[in-house]
Amino acid sequence: MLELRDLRCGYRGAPILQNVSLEFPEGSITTLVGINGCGKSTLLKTAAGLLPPVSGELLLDGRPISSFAPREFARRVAVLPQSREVPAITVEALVAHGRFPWLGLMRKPGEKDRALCEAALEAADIAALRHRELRTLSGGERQKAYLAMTIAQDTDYIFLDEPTTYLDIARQFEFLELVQTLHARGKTIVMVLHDLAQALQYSERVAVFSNGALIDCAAPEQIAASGVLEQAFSVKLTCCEGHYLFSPLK
Amino acid sequence: MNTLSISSTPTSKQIAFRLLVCCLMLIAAVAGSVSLGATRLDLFTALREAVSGTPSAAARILLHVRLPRTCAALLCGSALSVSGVLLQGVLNNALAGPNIIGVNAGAGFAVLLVSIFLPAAAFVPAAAFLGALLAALLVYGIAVKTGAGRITLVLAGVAISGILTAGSNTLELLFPELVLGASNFFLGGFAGVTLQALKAPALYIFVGLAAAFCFAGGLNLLTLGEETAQSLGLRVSLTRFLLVAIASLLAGAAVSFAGLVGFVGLIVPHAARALFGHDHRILLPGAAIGGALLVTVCDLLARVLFAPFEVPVGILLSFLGGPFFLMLLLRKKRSRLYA
Repeated sequence: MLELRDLRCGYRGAPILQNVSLEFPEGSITTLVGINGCGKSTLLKTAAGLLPPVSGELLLDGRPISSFAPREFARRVAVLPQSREVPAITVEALVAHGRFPWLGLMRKPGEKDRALCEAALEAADIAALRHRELRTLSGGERQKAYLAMTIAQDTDYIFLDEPTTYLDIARQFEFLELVQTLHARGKTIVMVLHDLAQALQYSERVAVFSNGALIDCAAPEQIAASGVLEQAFSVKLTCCEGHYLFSPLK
Repeated sequence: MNTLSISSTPTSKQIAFRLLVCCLMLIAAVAGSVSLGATRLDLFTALREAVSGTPSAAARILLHVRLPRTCAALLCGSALSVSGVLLQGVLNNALAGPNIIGVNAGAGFAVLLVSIFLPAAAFVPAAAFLGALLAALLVYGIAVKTGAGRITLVLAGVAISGILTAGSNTLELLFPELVLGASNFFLGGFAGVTLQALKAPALYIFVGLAAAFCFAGGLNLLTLGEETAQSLGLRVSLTRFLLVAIASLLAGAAVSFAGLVGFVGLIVPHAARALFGHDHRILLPGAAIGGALLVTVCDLLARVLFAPFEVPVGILLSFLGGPFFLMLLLRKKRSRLYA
């Protein structure tokens, strides 16, 4: 279990979020939502070890994450950052990078590494494009290729920072379905999504951030019923045959 | 967008073939460099005489003139090229080269400073390394602290380069008698280099090349972007610092005996990427071979083109390298990745 205790996070001593206490239990799928600039991505980066917390505790299985060696932590937690480079390599080569934290001193991938990369290519539904260069792929295909890399990392936790941004609606659902299958295999997923309907549809728990604090973290139905989303986003939420619709207040 | 992604990845068969061709060309260039010059040597006779210790003129030319020059060209070319690949990778900047971002100028200033105030040959390579490292860290520090864009980084490098070059010129004016052969130093060249003087820089360069090849995997991860590299468990800041230090070691060592040879560290990495792809495990050795080849051929041309006169190799490299680099740019103009 990944635990955030009284966490303050932000850049260079200017905290964006205060007093966040949150747990990501094993096998759960949690989505962080909030208006632009509310600090949800900052929290995701902090929880994933990419950014040191300003203060507070961050524990993985009861152990402070600062006590993990970088590669040791990378064997437990994988991150798909929002902004990425598009290096001139093939999909296959990119996915192979996911094995980096597991390789020995000689950095030579073994039989198991190759098998896991193969499985990751299949799981992310990108195996057919394995020999293609990343730059020649569409945004949705690139996103899948990067997802395959994080799957190959073979971690318990996968953090996804706005994974559906820049994808068309069909690609968004396709990607979120892939995330669902990962969750079904027992991975713990934490992601940031902009689309509230998708957040409610695809998560077990939704954490709502507003005004530099965590407002609530609960099951989607509870969050939808409690009215915190309407407050935080200044929108109107209606539920219609199990689907959530958001509309402007007036 | 990664500015380094300008050419498509060649297949491993193509890469192997190209590496083989480059190696064969390098062997031919070395043979040519040793046997051609103001006097033409019969390579095998001269070699036999040199090995058996026959005190012939040919053997002496081979041992004291041709061999040091050829070694100098090989060392200088491979060191500057690998330094360029490292800097371009670390700074994720296609315009970064040791001569562009002030690393060579830093080394040059330090070399002049030491040759004036601590005139002992032993200090020169170490001073060159320190000068190069300080200049590189200054530019790198500006890049990190300000989160500066690629163009700002290059401009900062040009500014630092300008300051250091002005410093070097001042030293040359103030101490004209102490800075012997300074004009040669500024142009870059291998005239008068001895095996003895090459010993320390050669050691630095061998260490630097070995270290660079060890970090090839880390450099590959860095091209995925800082956050991705970090999330894969790479110590990003440490790796970057070490890579900058290695690049400075290589460039500094080269400048310490060859002077300010420009362009190699910029052209060869680009050519090597087009030939060998972007995987640094192949790219770094490929660039080392390519750089050694380019500088050896240019030095040979510098000696034979206007024999018995000799052009400093730095001039020739700029004459050949400039147009070649422009050609590379024009060929890639459609890829909008140089933003």
